Amino acid sequence: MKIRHLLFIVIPLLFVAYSAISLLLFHSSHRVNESYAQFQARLLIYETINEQAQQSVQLADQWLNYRQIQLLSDLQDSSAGLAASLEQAQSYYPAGNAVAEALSLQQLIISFQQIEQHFLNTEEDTLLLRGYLDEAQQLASFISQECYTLIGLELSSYQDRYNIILQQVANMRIAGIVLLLSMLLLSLWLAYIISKSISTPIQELVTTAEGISQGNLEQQITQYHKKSDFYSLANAFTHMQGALKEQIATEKQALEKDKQLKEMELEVLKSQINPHFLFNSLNVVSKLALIEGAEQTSDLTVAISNLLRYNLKQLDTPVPLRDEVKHANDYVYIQQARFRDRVQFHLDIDQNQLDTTVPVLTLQPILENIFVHGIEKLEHGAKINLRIYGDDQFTWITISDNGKGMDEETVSQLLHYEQGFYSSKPATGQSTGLGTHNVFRRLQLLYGDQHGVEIESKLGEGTAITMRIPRGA
Amino acid sequence: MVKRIVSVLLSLAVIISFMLFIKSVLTINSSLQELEQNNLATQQQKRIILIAQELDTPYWKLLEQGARHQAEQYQYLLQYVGPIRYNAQEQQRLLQKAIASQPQGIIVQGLDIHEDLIAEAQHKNIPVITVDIDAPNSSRIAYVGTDNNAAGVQLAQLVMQRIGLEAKVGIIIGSEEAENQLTRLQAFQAALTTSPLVQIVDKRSSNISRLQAGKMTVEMLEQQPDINVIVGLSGLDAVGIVDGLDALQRDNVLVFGFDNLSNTEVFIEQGRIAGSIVQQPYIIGKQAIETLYSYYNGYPYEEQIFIPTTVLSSSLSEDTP
Repeated sequence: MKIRHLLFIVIPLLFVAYSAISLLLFHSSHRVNESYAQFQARLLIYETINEQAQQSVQLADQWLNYRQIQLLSDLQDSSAGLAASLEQAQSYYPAGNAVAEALSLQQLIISFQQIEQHFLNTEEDTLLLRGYLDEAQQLASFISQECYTLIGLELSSYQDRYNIILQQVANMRIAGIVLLLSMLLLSLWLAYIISKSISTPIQELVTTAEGISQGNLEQQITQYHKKSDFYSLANAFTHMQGALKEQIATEKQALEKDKQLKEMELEVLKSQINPHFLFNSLNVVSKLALIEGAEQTSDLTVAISNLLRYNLKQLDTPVPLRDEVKHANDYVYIQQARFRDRVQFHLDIDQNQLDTTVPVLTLQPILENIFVHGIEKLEHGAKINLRIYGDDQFTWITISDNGKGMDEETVSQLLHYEQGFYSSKPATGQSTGLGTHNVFRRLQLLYGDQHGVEIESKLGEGTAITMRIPRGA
Repeated sequence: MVKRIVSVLLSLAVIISFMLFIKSVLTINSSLQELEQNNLATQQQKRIILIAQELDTPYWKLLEQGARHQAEQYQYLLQYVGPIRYNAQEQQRLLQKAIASQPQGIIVQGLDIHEDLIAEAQHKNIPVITVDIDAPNSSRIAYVGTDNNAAGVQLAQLVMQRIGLEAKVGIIIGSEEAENQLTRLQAFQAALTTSPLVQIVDKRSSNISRLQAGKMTVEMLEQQPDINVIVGLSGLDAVGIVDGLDALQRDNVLVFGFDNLSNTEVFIEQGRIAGSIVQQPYIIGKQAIETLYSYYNGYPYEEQIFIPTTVLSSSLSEDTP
């Protein structure tokens, strides 16, 4: 049920119940009091009638004896009082067992009043009045007797009922207290249930929201009854959770696609090198050269063969830096066969750093670049330095030359390897196929933010390329 | 589950206490209504005053019950008065008072001393019905009660059934002034003395008191120990006689009595009272009101209405003659 409806029913209902109880309590006690007051009024009127009758007789007697006009007026007053009392008595409802007696009393009073009239008539003979006085006296005593009978009957009639009523009043009080107490408990209970029916779903939804914010999208969201206020809220949460899940799935898919594309890119790059045929032929050349006595030629051919074999490796294969250095030596040896004394190659290597794994063909393309672009035009005195140093976390590789250097445009072009691929110029025919650009790009793909590339270059003075490679990878 | 149980329990507590509460309220209300629903005393309703010989004797109470029952049928108001102890003067005063209060009818014992007052009542148009004792010479409109003559004869017959040929009979009479007692006595004596061997040897008054009856029995038997039958003519006499016999430790005396009051029936069962002539005061009361009803409505009614008596004897059968 909707909380609004629940409150709308419960609160007025409790209010009505409380009002009804109060009203009944008030009404009952009021009626008991009223009844008791009437009962007392009847007793009082009987007593009054009795006294008034006696007084009238006394006054009549004195009037006869002393004939004072004051006494006559007193008697008149007394008579009027009795008449008033009679009227009052006639308007009362006597107790059920005393109706006949009440009538009897009324008749006696009427008879008494008839005789009393004689006294009020001053013309009456005194002797005659004496006779009436006796009669009045007797009637007064009858009245007195009847009054006491009536009082007795009223009392006995009231006594029984009054005991019942008192008992019931006591019962009513106890029942009323129990009722009020249990109503109070019920109200508290209802308040508890209602507040709980609000706070529990809110708490659940809060927990769910917290879960979602922490990335848990597989939570079961409690379903509420269609009529509940929390139905739409819970529904909204469920929708939200579903939508988030969907979005994350889409994101993941996009990432996956990206990764696949990059792998394809590597495949394509690798396919640019096709050295098998050359590699096999070189082996034959090497052996032939040895047979013909050209040892240097044979050594050179072996070096070229090694170089080619090394180049056949998968581009994403990690190799120890040691192998890379050895490969670099081979390459330089081949190039020295061409450049003779024009080139000096210096190694400054921290042996501890040689265990660092790096992607295959990291050093060679850079050296190649130096030979092709940097020092090709130098007649003599070309120097190439390979320096490897580092700490526990990173290994730095610096390759420097004293060649012609690069302009800033070329440097920035080289450093913008992060976007797009195939931006490198097609191989000029003098390289083995992989460009510097490609090296940086692979480092980025493999190590992400952990890698670092710096290029220092001045036209005419040379270039220094420094790469930072994480050791843990 | 617990929630539901608590809800149900609390609701039940509320409902039950509410019902109890309402019940109390209703009871109070109805009690008050009964108290207040008394009829306004109206002059339209006929008021009849029944004056008893003695207020609290079983005989008169039964008579009152009968009268009240019938009065309720006709919606008459019945006022039951009487002296606490038997007292003819007090009764007369009550009659006087009754007349002064001008009811529509008076039912009273027809004592001789009431005759003037009955005449006064008639003068004031108040019909008087005599019960129990008739006052044939007064101006009462009718008598309703036992035919005391017949009752005396019935008693004599009962006695004669139970005694042999010879018997010395003592009599305890309720009151030697009461017409009904005297009538019964005369009829009894007349019926009994038909047999020459049955003698009535003593006669005393109990003043309708059980104690007095016992005392008289003792006196009687002390003077004439050969009395073998004692007859009580008013309600409590027989029981009193048994008390007297107990005091003397005599068990060879046959006791006969009137009416079926207090433990008369138990004594008959035990054989200590030989038999009793039982009047029917309830019917007398009823009939008195019935007669007044006829009087008010101008229907014919008999001036003397006798209510038959029954015999209660040790055979335990209460058969009408």
